[in-house]
Amino acid sequence: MKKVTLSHVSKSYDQQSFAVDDVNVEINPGEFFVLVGPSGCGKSTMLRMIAGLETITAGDLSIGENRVNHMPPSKREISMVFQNYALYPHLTVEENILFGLKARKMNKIERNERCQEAADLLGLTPYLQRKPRELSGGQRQRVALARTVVSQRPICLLDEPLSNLDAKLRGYMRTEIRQLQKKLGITMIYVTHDQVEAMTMGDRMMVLKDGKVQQVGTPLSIYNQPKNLFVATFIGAPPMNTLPLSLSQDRSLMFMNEKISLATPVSWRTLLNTKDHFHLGVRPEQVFPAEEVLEPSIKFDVTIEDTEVLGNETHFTFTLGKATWKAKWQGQWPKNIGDLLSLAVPLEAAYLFDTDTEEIFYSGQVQLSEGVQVL
Amino acid sequence: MSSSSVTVVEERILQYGRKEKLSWWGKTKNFRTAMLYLFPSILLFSIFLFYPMLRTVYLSFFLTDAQGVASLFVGFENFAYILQSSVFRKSMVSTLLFVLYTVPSSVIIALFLALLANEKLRGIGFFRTILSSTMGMSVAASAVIWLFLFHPTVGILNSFLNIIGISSIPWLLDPQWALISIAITTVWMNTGFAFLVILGGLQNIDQHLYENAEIDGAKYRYQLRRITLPMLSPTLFFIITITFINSFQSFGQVDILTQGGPAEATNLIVYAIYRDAFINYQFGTASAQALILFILVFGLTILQFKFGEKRVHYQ
Repeated sequence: MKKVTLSHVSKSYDQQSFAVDDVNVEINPGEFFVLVGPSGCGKSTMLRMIAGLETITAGDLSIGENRVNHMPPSKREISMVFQNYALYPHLTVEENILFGLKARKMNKIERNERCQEAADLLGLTPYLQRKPRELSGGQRQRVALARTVVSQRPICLLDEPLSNLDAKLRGYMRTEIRQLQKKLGITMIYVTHDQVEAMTMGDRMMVLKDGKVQQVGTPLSIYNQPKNLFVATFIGAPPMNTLPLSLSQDRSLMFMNEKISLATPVSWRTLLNTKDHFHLGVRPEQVFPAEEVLEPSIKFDVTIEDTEVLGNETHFTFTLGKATWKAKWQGQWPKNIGDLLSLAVPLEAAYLFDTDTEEIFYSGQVQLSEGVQVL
Repeated sequence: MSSSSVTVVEERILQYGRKEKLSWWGKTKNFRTAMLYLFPSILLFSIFLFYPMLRTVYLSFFLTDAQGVASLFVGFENFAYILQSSVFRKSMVSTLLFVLYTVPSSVIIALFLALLANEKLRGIGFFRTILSSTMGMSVAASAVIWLFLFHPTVGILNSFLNIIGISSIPWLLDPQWALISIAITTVWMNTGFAFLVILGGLQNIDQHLYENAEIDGAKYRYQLRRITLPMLSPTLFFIITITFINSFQSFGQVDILTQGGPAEATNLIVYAIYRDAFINYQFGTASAQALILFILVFGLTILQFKFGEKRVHYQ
């Protein structure tokens, strides 16, 4: 088993801007590693560089101990699943699965053995003689996975493999891919724009934006300790509420706009000594009814603008200053649009971000020092 | 279970189904609308296609005067005469040879060029334009260009052969060479269109298929055989059929380069029809030949569909 190491890997198409900008990461053998970010953030480009389908502009890519920057894709001992599955429409499922093995001139007995095994594993045995167009989306997806299974290669790259499936099937395939990875013990590098997939599937994940690495870590560490405003609002559904605030001269008041202000919690005042502005971030599930919060908190009253009752949880939408916030409460709450709500946010649930750099400088649970290393 | 469900369906139809009673005028409403839209093309087709075709069939049973007016009904005599005529037989042989020379070579050359032009290289757009440019050239212009190239003394082809130490070839003057010369011209003319269509077909193939094959370690020739050609088969089938029919109907290049000579070696069937009709004023036999050509091309095209289409993978 080999680990994949990227050091200072960059990609530029026009020699002027970076599509992938100075990425450093070590992906361990047997790990499920997720690359996540909005579209155009360079995550697919990064995956294609690992596959050898894109050249690397600068930096080193190693698989195991070897630098593989110029190694052709077939020599890298990888397999890949594409977003559209890249099945050969003129070949049967069986021929599709065996395409790579035939190209490598593997002997027929072993070839068929592996095909049978993979078909059993993925429940494709009844469909082996069909053409891809006669299969449903989920079955096509499984054929693409079966190809990586028969290749028996230690590293598998997946490029948004679930985005062509409907929501229910996607949820099901998430588990299936995860189980497959554990069963085979292979390394999977998985690209997605869907933060739910990243959170539920990954051992570790890397959040990318505009080609730059925002944060690398386990899903929970990223959820609990987002490194900056982007990560905080990208991960989590509904996303983290944020609110730009400006401080009064003596730092005792925090203004949402010209008229409305809140008292600055005493424990924050030294923290905010050097700032004029900052962003407050609070997860929707940390916005509570005021009467339930006994610890030190920020309190405010709002008018409900929208409610969504999702069975056992209720979402309220309201405006705070210039920002639209959501509160997520457990249970079914019979509130109407226009009702007044008294809300409270415990101080330890708050995240404070610098307005200029968008970096986090305080979170309720842990005080972060300057230049924190979250790698 | 299924039979009972059928009766349920039948019952439901009996109970709730409504048969709208429509007049003939109401029933044909869709048809009449469709015909209104089709009218312009039906009109044009009728004048320039259907009427001449029926007229050809009609004329093939008559002897005509010099104006092409049917004067004497002769039944199948025109056909009998044609089939016994050595000129017609020779023309048929030349035509079949010509088709054999032009169709495979046109398609293979176009495929080869398209594969080259499909690579992602700097300035490839220039080559794509150049290689498809013969498509925009009229038959007459192309034939004249080749007339100069084939010229026995000042033609560039013979000059070039002389430079590399081969004696001049009497391109259009020798019965052995004339048909080949016409075929070379035709292949050159066909290439532009075939190239463009095949290139379009190649560009339509999903790049991920190649990337996947690349990762699997498939070599170029394996990819060509197992991905490109099967995925391209509908395009190839189309272009083969079109080139095939076009080859049978070649006329302009013969008229300009050789006028059917020397020694009738390039008297292709359409040129023979033209000569019979407009030089010998034998409209009856010319019509009979046209009809034979039509039946031949029609039959061969049907055979092509029957046997060729099995190898075509539509997506």
